[in-house]
Amino acid sequence: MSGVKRIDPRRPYRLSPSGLRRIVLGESSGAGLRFGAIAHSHEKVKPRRAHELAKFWHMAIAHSNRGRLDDHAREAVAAAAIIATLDTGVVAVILGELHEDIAALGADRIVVIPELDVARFQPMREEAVVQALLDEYRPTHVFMPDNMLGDGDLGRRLIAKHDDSKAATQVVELDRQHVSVRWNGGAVFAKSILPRFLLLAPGAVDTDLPFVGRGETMSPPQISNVTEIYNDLGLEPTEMSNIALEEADFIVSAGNGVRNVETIDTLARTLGAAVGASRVAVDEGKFPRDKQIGASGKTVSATTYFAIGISGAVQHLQGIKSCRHVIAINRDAGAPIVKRADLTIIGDAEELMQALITRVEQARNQGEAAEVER
Amino acid sequence: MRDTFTVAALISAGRHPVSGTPRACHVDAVAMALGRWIAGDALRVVHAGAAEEPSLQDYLALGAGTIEVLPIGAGNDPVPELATYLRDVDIIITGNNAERGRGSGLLPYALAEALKRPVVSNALDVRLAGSAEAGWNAEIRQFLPKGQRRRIACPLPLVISVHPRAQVELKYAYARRVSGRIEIVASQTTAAPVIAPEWTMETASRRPVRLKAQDGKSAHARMQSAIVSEAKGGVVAFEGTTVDKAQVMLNYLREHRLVDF
Amino acid sequence: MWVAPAVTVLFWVSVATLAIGLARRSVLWRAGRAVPFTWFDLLTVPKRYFVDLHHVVARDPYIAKTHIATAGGAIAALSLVALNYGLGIYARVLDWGILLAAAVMLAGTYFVWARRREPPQRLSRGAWNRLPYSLAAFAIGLAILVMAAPQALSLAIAVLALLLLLVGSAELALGIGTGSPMKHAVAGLLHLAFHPRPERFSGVRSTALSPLALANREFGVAKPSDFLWTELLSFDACVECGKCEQSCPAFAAGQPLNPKKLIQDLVAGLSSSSDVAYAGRPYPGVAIGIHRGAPDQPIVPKLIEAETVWSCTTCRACVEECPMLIEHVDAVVGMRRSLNLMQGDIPGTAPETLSNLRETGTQGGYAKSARYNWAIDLNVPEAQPGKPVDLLLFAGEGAFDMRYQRTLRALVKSLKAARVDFAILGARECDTGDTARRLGDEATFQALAKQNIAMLASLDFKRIVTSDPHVLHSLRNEYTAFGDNYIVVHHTALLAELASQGKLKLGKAAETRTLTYHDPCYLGRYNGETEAPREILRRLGIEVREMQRSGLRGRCCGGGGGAPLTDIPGKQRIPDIRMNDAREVGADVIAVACPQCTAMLEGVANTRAEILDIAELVASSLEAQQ
Repeated sequence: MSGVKRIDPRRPYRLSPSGLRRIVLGESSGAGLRFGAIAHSHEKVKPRRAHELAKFWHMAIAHSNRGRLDDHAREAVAAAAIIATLDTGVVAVILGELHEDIAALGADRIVVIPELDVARFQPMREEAVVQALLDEYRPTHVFMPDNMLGDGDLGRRLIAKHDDSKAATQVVELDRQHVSVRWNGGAVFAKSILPRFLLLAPGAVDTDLPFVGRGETMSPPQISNVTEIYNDLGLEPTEMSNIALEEADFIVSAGNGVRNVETIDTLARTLGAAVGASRVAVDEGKFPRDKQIGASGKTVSATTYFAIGISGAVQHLQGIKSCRHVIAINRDAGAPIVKRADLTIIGDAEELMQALITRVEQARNQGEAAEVER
Repeated sequence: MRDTFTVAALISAGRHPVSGTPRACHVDAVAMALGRWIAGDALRVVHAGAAEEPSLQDYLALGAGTIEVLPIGAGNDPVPELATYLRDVDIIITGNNAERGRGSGLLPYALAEALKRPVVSNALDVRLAGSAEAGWNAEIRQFLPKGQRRRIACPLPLVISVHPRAQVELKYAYARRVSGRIEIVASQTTAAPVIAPEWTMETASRRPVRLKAQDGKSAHARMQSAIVSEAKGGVVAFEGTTVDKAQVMLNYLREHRLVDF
Repeated sequence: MWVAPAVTVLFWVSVATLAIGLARRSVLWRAGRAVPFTWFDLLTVPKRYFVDLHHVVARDPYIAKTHIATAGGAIAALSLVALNYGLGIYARVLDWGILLAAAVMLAGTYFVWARRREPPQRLSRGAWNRLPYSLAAFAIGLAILVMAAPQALSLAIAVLALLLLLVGSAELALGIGTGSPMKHAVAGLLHLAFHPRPERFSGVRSTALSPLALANREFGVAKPSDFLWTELLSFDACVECGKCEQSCPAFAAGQPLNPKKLIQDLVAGLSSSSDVAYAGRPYPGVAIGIHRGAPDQPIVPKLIEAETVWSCTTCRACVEECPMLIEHVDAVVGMRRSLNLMQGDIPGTAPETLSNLRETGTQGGYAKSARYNWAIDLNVPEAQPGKPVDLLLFAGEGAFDMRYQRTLRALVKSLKAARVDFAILGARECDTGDTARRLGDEATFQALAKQNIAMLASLDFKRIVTSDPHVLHSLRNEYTAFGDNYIVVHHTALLAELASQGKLKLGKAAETRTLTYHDPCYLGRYNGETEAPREILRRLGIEVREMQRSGLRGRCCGGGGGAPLTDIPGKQRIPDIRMNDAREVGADVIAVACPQCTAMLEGVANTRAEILDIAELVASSLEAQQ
């Protein structure tokens, strides 16, 4: 290597409103690659949405996960606020602890019931608490995320109890008057008037709001003891690297460029990810057939997909179509995976995996929070 | 002894999501197989609807044996009929969502409510523990996302809705389809059609529109943001040390809240 | 003199033994299902033996000559013994004839012995190894006795000779009754007379599977007695030469299949025994001696493991090689049918593919309307009822594969260049059901066949062209049993035809790399078409560097018979083996003519030859001319 850094004039670029933006790491010691930094710098104070005194209420109910709301839960709160008229307040009922401010999602009142954590199955208690709140607020509409983390279950229990034949589940589209759901396994949209109970499909709502809610924290209702007929025997311990690829939310996947299977297993363990592989890697016998991702293997829908040493044949890309974030490590910047990936790191797979393992372990050990670094 | 409790699998008319061809609703077929595993030959298989429904043939091929058809007119609420017909059955097992019609996943809950029984959803596995004297307990392995599993115990009688990932093998054998039987049973109640909300249908040939707050931005600003979000192709990092590059990946993960450290 | 009468007695005792043995064995065969036949079929044996069977045997000249000497000598000797001693003529001149025949036979047994000193691995040992000795004993004993009789040799030598003859006669006469190696002589000849596929002897490549009468609850072969009796007979004809084993791609890949063992296991099943006495190579990874069967006992898994049945690619290489003209693939599919239709027990992703076929008419669960998406910008008319067209393009499942769409587009471009009047089928096309049928799902196959036959009946066309040999085979050979006859041409045949008619002007291809051509099994072996692709390549000025196994004896890519779906594990993958074949001849390009071969060979990991369809080579030559 000569001392002078050469810059490839045909290096990949990103199209942005300010024109072509070439990305070269190392130019300014990585400072140019602060993702999302722009969004933070523009932050300005947003106005409150509703009147001081609410005549009506919308209620959003969702479980929290380790003190935070996931995207799907946030959508339910945001929907309650977007649909609400100016004389309607939004009360967010959060089952489980909450360590973040959700006024930005339009919540005017926030009722947190920490002991109804998502980790425990106690639908009768939850029903009782929610019923008390329903009686208190008499919301015109109740919004919940239709997930398998307990909200879909609780929502259906409430709907059954209220004998609500108008309720809508897996709502994909909604406005102030209407709601659309998929029928016949997704083949048709069925539209009807906005019902009282709405269980929202993920992705139906944009949580980027131009306003904020009042964000007042309310104390939870007092409920006399409920005897649960269900006996929660607890969660089974799961080893992330063993879970089925179709279910995995985080996948580290190996291709031809990965020579050392152990490294990828270590990386997967470190990140709490499942291990997948391209067809070539499976054909070579490095991975069992059930790890194969692609048209002739499995179709995955992980939120995060690490493609390591995978060139990205069309068949492989078919299998990762619904992955949200694709991060590629590849030696060849011209590989098709680079076009698909949200972030591509060019370099040797083995070295980069080792470096990432070390860095992630450090970060975990130090308990270092992302905010601190910023 | 197995025959000290009774199990019925509730099956619905399925349709292939792409072709619309009648078929066994996949998750109901899974539920039926799970029911077969619990109850063996004593499993009852019940369909509320028309005996002519072509997808019932698939259930026969999948080993239904005999299907009891409870005639219910289109548009009628099957829950009162089913609740009456199945009131003495200890375990009602069915799929978590139907493939045809609404597929709202509400039926197991409505049925449980009508029968005043507990309901456990998204079951992957069911085991029975106990005895005829001490009472039976169903132990259910419940599906949770991201590979998590929960175990729940619940006394009989109950309603169980099954998740499609339940580990049962579906074996389609044409010979069983030929030898299976469909029996029509007498209607249980004189249920009036429910007043369901009016649904207007539209072929789902477009993407659903996301609910978005009116932000009062100018058309130009909206155009700008549309351009940014549509700019395809991600960031590529070429140079720098491997440590820098590792940091870039970690930054990305944190920025998008993909890791919790 | 007592010697001559002794031979007479021995002869008649042997004949009686043979007759009793044959009667006993035929009871076993008759456990199989009835099939119409006439005794006049026996008259066909000489032609079938000397022409059809010899045609296969002659591929190995050494053993062909050896067999002519041994068997010919034996038959001649026996005939003369029958005449001279059986009828008590005792003519001296006939003794000279017997001596000559015995000498020829002895010469033959020498070569049998010579081969068996260091036998190739494909040959079974065990009882087969004693044949050169017992047959030589017969020849020597007979020779001494017939020549020694008048001179009245010493008693000791006469007794010894008689004993030798006794040993040899026992081998010949007891073979059929005890199921030992010489049973092949009797069963083999009868098998030729009552062959389950008699069309094979009238110059037809009889490769279509026979339909099941599902309405009569025919669900395939669950137990040995579910085979036709003629099939049971055919299994007894096996000489365990292992030609099938040598040609079997699954065996080579270390999957648990060996066609020879399969036939021997079925012999064990029909005769209520186990595989202990089997002295050949086993199914890879499956121990010998733990499986046994009976005519009325289920075959799978007590006699044969399901994995064995599901390893077959239905490439018919074993059938092509079998000197006894046994139909291994029919046996495999028969057993698959039962596993599928009776139990629904199918490994791998095959059940998913089968339900896709039932529910969408495509293997991948696609919308039928998406099958011709690759042709949207090519302006090809879609076939319509009442709109006559010369040629229909039947694309098959390959149309959904992004790689294979390149081939289809190339084909369409070539057809347009030749100004052919053709149309695509569009959403009307349904999978032909080939894969379902090979996987034993006869019900799904028949349902799909009926849909396609009704669809094709609504259209007005002269011929069908397809680039998929599996589609070709179904439409051309297997749909005939359900209704219609179509003229179906493979795209290679059509392109060759257009080129020879001058409608398609092929120039010299730009392809200068070393090229070999891989014959698809369903085009070559199943349909006998090996010339057209080579002719096109010649016209393109490309020299084909032939692989060792090519043409009718080409090696399978591993993609047939649903084998990629059942995906039975082995030591290596079949396409890797085929890629090695190409590597051996230094090929940089493998020309193919089938979507399965394309996918399988392109799936080979690491460095490999480039895979190009004949249609792609043609289209690129056309482009080069423009």
